[in-house]
Amino acid sequence: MTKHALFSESELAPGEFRRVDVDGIGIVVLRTQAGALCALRDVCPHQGARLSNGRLEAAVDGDDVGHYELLADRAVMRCPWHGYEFDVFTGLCVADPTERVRAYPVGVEDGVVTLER
Amino acid sequence: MSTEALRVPNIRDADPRTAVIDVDVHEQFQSVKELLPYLDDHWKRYIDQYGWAGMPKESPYGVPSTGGNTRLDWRPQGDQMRASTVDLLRQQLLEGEGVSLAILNGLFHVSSLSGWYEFAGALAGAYNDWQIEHWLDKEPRLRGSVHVVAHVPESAAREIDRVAAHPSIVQVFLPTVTDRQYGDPFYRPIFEAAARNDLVVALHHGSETRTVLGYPRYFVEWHSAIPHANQAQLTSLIFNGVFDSLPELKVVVLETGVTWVPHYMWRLDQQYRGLRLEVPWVKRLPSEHFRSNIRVATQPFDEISRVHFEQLIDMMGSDELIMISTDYPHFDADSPTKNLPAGLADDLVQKIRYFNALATYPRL
Repeated sequence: MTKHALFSESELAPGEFRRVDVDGIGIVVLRTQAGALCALRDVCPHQGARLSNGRLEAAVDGDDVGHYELLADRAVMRCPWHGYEFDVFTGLCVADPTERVRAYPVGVEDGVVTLER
Repeated sequence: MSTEALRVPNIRDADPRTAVIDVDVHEQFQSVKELLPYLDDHWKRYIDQYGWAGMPKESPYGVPSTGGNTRLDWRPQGDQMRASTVDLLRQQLLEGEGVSLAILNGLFHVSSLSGWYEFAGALAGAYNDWQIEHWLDKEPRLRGSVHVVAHVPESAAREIDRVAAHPSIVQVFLPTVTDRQYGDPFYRPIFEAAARNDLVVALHHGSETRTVLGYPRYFVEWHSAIPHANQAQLTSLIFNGVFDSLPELKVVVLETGVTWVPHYMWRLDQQYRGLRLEVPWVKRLPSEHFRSNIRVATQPFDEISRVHFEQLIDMMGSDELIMISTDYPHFDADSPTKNLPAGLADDLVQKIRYFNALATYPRL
């Protein structure tokens, strides 16, 4: 596992994401509205679309019919093609955890976002 | 109402090599006047004085089969109504077809009445009591259904609680209506009542069941399209969270065949993967709900080869979803012992004819 320095932390505001290339691998790096930094492989396992062409959204939950709750501490990347949701922390498809994208450890060192792969 | 049903022999002690549980059998009365002893005086008048002659038939069709809507060799002599006595059913189905135990579904869809729910409720109660006295208490190889007026759910739930006191009652019967959605929380009291009484809920079409084209020009078109209506109701149940809120509940889809199931599972899963956020109360893939909560019955059995049938089971992801049904006494009734392709493994055949029903109906 190698640590890669990506870009200045100040370049990624809450709710923003960007695609980076690490050793030829496309990765979407994002910051949730709550401020957490996450990184996912930028390929939807369904049909290969780039998740970085999709949306970063708050995860939706609810237990009773017709009642929705937007979760402040959970976010999903949604694929631009069919809308599949991937948990930004685990990479698991919310609807079908047998589908997942790889999630990478990220951090900040001296104001620079780092990623390990 | 008697609570002393004749429950010998216990179907769970049967020989699996020969046991057959038929989950779709239609008893009926000779005349609606058989319900008079079970109705209050007010409602009796509508039948014996005011001329109410029975449930209106909504579809326009006659059935162009050899015996009309009845299998020809099951048509009684003279004016006797098909499947109208225990003796006929014993002779034609239990002995005639080697059925060990039959689940009665009737042919009296009180939920299809689009109004006058008080009368419909009285009819439901009367029918349930008639079924118990004339069938369940007379023949230990029969199990019965609670008939309810679905559109008055709290009243339906009370009727389920009342009739479930009889030990031979194993399910709640709901006709596959096409103007209401059973997944709507409005109907939840019915499913909750079924679950708390360990009853299965059965869906079965009737003349009130429309296709997406309404009533097509010909019977063959209408009859071909029955699975669509049942699929629509199942979709309503799944996406409105019925199985998330009642994880033990089983819903049985009758007279819809079985070969549609893989397509249906795949289709709903594909939609759910992309649109889950609209129905976040659904916590599992629709196919997982199907495998844990929904069962299907063979009739009318599509004529497919052994190889295709084995592939079908593989595509379903379970060999525990299919049960045998005849649809006695109707024109397209299947033989419960000759309908499956020849050459299937014995353990699979025994599951379909016997074990899967035991696992589906908690009260068998």
